[in-house]
Amino acid sequence: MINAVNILNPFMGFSYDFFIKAFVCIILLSLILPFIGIRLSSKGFSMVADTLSHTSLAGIAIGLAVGGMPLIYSIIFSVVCSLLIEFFRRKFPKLAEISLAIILCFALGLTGILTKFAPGNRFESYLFGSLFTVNNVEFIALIFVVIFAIVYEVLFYRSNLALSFNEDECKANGLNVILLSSIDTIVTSLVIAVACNIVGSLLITCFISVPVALALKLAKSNKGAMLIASLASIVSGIIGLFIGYAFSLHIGGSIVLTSVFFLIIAFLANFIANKRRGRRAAS
Amino acid sequence: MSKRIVGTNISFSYENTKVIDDVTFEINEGDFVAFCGQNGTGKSTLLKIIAKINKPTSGTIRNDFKKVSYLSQLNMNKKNFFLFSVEEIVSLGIKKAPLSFLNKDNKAKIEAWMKNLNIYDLRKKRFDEISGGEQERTRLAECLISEPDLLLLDEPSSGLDFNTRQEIFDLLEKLHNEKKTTIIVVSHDKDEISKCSRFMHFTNNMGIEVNHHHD
Repeated sequence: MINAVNILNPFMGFSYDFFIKAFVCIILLSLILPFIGIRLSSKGFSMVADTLSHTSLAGIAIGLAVGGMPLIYSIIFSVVCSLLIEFFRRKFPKLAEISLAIILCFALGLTGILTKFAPGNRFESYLFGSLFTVNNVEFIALIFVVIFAIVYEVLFYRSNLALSFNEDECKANGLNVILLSSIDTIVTSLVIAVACNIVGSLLITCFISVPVALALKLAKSNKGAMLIASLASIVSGIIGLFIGYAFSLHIGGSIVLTSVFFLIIAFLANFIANKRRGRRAAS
Repeated sequence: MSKRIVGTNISFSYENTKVIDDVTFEINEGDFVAFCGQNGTGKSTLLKIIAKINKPTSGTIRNDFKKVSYLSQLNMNKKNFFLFSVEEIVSLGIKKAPLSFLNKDNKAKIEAWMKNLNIYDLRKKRFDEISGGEQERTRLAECLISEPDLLLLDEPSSGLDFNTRQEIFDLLEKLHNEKKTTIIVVSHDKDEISKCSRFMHFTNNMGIEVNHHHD
């Protein structure tokens, strides 16, 4: 149902608690998820984020099935799976990619079986997210985890950069590659697990891949890519939120579509600009 | 006492394939060594063992050098070089503890090395936008910025044209002569090897003969 008041004044939303919470969640996630996305893709492991968001989903399903708190179960399950991924990557580098697919399938299969035991249809909200029904525990958990992750990203910026450039050179320099890499994986899975409880696995996949694709195209450096990706997801997140609120759409879906739309616009603009530049150079 | 690298009865296998079999060698401070020989004879593997990236399956390695720089083979198939600017890659060479930032001195050093290797004008470019020779110079700058006492280079000149190769080896020779840096380089090129003070020839039956040039 379209609410006329919402369309005329979407800023009305700020008078509601649930809207402010959703707004803060989007900002926080736009700050951290693209960072993780960029690093995973420069490591050549963009599948990891997708896999982890599905393992969080399986964790949530376990939590719902046993009647516990989904948040706790998804964090535990996700961290365990992320360490398993890291272990496979080290032990069998040739099988790294396939091991991701196996864990992803396993998590999805488990989720499929366990959803039967979840009461009501609460499960769907974890798949697509429900930003307007964030409870206080999840909200506070997200704030803490994102602040922790941002502090981590800043402190470990240089070593993470070096690791994603060339692991062998790091080993030769005496860095403890396995330790640093494991810490990185744990932080990544923590962020994704907490985010999955709030925005669902769909929006995580979107925030980790769409702005990253844009940044890969436009950025000239790693730092620049991170800035572009963060900015792109903040802008599309906020616009998606307002559009979704004004037209009473599903917020997660609206944000995803907005960001994909912006990605296409940016690609086209970039394409045209390049063509013009080419023509000017030719004449 | 001068620093040394001593390998005793080193063997190494990848899964079931033996690559290095019972090799004993010694490299002294100030050596400029070339590892040469056909593909698949264990040159890169031995270099990685010296760099402590791989552990030998059996045997022992002693490496007294503390400031080691290792340049891996350039492998663009991996594509993880995409998102880095030239400046960022050079800055990675500054070896500091994980939890630290670059200060003014570091930045000045980065600038100086970029000028030194003629890549200063490219510093804002992406690594995949520059030519092979420029990429190699960028990675060399990353290696040299920490002023290592041991430099390990895995085919630094592969895929480059004659002039660029000459340039890189002239630079290495200068480094060896002026700073007495110990250098080990994997190479296939006869001209390049002739610039080195020693070479170790790897053969298919996993034997390694050590030779000295007469100079």
